[in-house]
Amino acid sequence: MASYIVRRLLGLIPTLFVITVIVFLLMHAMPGNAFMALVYNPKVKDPAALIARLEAQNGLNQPLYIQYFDWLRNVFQGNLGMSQSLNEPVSQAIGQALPNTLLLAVTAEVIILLVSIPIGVLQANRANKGFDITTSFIAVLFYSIPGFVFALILLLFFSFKWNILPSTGTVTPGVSYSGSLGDHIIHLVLPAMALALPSLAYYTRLTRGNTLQVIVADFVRTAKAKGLRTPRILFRHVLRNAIIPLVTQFGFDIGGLFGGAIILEEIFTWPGMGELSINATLSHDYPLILGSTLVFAVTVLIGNLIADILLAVSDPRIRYD
Amino acid sequence: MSTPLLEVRNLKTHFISRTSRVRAVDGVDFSVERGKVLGIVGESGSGKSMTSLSIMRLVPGPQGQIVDGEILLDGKNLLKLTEREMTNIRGNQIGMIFQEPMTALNPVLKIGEQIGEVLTRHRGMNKAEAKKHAVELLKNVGFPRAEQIVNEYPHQLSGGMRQRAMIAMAMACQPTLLIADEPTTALDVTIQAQVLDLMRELKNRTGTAIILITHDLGVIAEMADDMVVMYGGQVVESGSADSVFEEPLHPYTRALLESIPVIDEERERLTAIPGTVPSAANFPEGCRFADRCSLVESSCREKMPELRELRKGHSVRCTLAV
Amino acid sequence: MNKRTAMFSAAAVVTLSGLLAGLAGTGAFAATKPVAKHAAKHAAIPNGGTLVQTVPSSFGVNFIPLLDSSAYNQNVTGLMFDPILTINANNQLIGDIVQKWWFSKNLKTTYFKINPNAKWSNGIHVTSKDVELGVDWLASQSYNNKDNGAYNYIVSSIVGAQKPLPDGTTPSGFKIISPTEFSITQTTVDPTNLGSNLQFITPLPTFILGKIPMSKWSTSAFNKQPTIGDGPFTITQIVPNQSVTMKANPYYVFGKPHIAFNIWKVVSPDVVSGDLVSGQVSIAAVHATDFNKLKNAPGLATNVTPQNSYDFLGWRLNNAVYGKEFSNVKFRQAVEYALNRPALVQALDKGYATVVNGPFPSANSYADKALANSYKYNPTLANKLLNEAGFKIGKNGWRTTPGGRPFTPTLTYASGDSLLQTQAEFMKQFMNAVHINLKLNAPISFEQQLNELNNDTNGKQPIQGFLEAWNLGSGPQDPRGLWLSNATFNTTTQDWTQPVSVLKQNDKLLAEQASAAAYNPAYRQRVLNQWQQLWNTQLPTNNTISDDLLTVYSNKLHGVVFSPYGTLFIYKWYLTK
Repeated sequence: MASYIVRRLLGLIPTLFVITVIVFLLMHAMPGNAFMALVYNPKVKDPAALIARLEAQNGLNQPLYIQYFDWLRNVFQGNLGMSQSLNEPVSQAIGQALPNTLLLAVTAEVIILLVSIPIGVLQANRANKGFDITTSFIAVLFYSIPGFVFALILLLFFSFKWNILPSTGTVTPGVSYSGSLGDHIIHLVLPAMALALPSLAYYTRLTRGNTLQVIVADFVRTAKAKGLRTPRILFRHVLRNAIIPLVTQFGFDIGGLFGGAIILEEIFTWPGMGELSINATLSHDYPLILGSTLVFAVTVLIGNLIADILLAVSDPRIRYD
Repeated sequence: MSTPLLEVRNLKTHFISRTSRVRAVDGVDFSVERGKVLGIVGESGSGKSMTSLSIMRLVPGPQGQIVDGEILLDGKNLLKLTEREMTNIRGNQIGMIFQEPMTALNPVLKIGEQIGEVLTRHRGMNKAEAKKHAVELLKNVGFPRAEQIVNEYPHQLSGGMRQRAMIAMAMACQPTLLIADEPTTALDVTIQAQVLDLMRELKNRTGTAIILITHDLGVIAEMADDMVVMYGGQVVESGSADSVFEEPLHPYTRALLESIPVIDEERERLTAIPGTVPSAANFPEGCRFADRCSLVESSCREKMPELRELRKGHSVRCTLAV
Repeated sequence: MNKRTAMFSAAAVVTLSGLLAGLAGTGAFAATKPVAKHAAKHAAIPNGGTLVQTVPSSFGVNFIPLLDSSAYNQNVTGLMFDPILTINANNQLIGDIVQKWWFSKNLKTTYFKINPNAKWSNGIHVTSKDVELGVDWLASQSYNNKDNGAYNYIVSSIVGAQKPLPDGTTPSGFKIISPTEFSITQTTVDPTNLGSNLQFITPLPTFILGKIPMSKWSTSAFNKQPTIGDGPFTITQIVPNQSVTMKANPYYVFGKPHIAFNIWKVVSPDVVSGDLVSGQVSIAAVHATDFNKLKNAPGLATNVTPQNSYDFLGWRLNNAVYGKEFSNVKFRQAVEYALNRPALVQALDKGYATVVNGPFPSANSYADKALANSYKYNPTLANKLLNEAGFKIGKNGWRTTPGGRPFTPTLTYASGDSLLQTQAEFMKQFMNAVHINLKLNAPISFEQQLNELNNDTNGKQPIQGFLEAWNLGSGPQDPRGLWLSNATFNTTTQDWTQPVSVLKQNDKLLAEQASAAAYNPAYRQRVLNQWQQLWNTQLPTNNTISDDLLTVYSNKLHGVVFSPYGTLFIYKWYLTK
């Protein structure tokens, strides 16, 4: 198992190399850099000289391939460079943003799994009866509404109208309970819900479908013949099988959920990777663009790896080698 | 004479949809004596598997319904029990094993858990006790490495091993009745014999009665004390295995006996019965075997023959039999 | 607040109109509430409460004044560190840390006397040494060669500070007279310099930063979270990328502010309106659409203030394809007549904007009121001017160049702002209506647009017509940076190339408005008016409209002083229950 993971991780390196090269080239294909706006000021006596100095300081006057390999060499030394728009190390900026995005994505994932799986299984168990029809209708409704619309609806009621949950950030500033666990949780509720709801509907449908396929299997009849009660049959025998395609999908979706978090971060002013990378792109902050791209690429690839590992763990018939 | 362990009376299991009514089991009577083996034999579609599922009350719903009859286990009518009471019978007083052990076992749960959960369910054991007991059970069904097997998955076992595990599972609570639905059909011939030996040995050791459902008369001959021949959802002949093999009274039973391959003769011979089992959705008026019967007379098609006891304990559903 | 806005926008930083609203934050404009009214009920003013203001996007990480180029950081440092002088709602220089100032006879030296009440938030007096440290910092090699360096212009007119000095070296033009008095000598006589540059010199605490080598400032703990300031509020908590909480400074030079806490919070523009309604935000600038919705919302008050900024349609006069045509003053005049600017005011800003006819929008205290009604919408006159200039209408209904070539100029504008897109479509309609076949380029990033403008000495860049905006900020409005014929921004973005006599006249007037005689405000205004009239006939750019700043705030918040240069005097604001 360990060697399998190590092998897979090593296999990511060429992919990451290609991704960074492509991003690097695309990035430099966009004319203009982070310093253009800074010197767009009639009071700066010699803007050209200031730009030249800032470009030289940041190595932007070097040929592209040298810039790339400089960046690469630094990455291997654990140095992602200095952000040109934030005046701080890229690793520090990402270090502040990434945990927030991870917290949001993981919370949403937990909500998705905890809610959609039981509902999906119960729907399948009562297929085409009242519970199944109503919840399926709601699920399809949720699935067809994009996350940002949810975000706005949730905000409208919970924050703007009733003012029971905050609309922005991860903590309340300037109060005695600032940064406490409860403070974090009330800030997490709305964005995590908005991120989870559409996927929740999707995963409910997926669970329902998989369960319907499994529920007619011979081993379910065996389980019944053993006198097992329905919950044990559904949530141990059936779910344990129905969950296999689900976890695979789940691993692949980690990257997607990460991407979905980005849009919602903008709405909820959630200081995560979304805000960071959007600002990086808007300000043409090359080191920050590369750094955050690297993080995204690694997340997607690790998501795929997790999908494979989860599949291997959840299905004993699959071997690691 | 003591009461039989199980008595099935006028059992009718139909599949009812808006447009049709399929009479899969259509008035079946038989009984199983304590510690004895009852063989139920018949072709696919004869209703023998559905009979066994009816006893377990596992007829696939919502279309499949037991519409009439009684199933008395120790004099208690199983059809009158609530579903919850029934779950206390299943796996506890009645064990069941199925034809295809690969699909009948859950592919993603360990053997030990699948056996152990019967014990935690019915015997109130905790997981550790159940697992320990599962090792014993596996040893009893002839696993040499039982300690490892409990931690293995079904796909890691051979077909015969899986069926042994199924038997261990079904026997875990020492049921008074074991229903074995085609237990050897999917197995190699040599393995078949081993599995049958095992069942016989367990029966002798524990006194469990067995309903052995098969289309293989050879298996019946080897195992059964009594036998029931089913055709078209009905019992067409029943009696002790000895008397039925000695003197088959129904043309269908005779045809079945003729279709057994006899290996020790120089040439293998298999007389297949011409024609197919009639559709259970659309049975003919009179004798349901009439269309395939070589002895058929016009009277056969007019009225359904009664099951008549022609010899002591040996009944047949044929007007021609004497 | 005025300091922040001033610092950022006195620099006349060009910005997208969309960004502008965001960057301005709560910086609202124009004095609609006379201060006297509040003074009358001074006795009843309650103290305490928490004010929540917003910025649309994350803060930077440096909080030493001017070390970070982020405008949002300057929101924070502007409240924590007061500069030597500030402005009032009429754009007049008034005292801050410095109480009085006067000039030498030759006008090159200015003398300053520090306010006896000027103290750091720990009670220690602000001294000339602290001012000197602020000057040394902006002049230092560390600041200019290693750090941001963008605000060096504030001190670069001081004798001895033309090139970056070794760290800790004081330019010879800065002299300490006593702990409360100092003088600054400039290289040239320049009446605009005090208000444009020297005003922003910010004292720094020598008892803290004086002990740290300047090369280490950017990594110092004080930079990450300053502990001492001389402004109305000091930082108590920074949540990275989210919020900065500040508390009232009891030793503030004008007295402890009424409001106890001020929170700067990063709030997405999408949710600002809702947060105002729910009371999670106390004051914020919003777009016209939201403004109309919030106008009658319970618990909220509103303010409309014209801003000292404007949108314009520019033409690359050196463009290789159509530079000659764009350089024809009749073409630009015709364009100005062809633009239905009142329609733009309605379409883009729901009426909350004004038409701009000169280099200064009408909210600007230096704007020449005589230009107010020039270039009224008149497509007939536009057609006439174009005909006169030789742009003939061809068989296909479109005009050709005077040389007979097809005339299909393009319009470049930045992406990411739907209002800019609307504006571009309006421009196309207006031009098409006078038979100019203007075509819209696909929107490009703001950075890319700047790049095309900055690197276009040969006119080969694809950019021809373009949409942009200027924010002129506070101060004496010295137009030389933008409009001298040899100014960097003149040669690279706009141009008025002919005839030469016009250019000479332009440069002469701009020199006069900054001469010794211009220390007389009436004289300076007269020259500026002459220059604005010249500008108005030449139209080096086709200025369009100036958006109002629309501020929505809690009706519990009182005493806010709105001006075209920002909301002023936060220490006078107060919150009722």
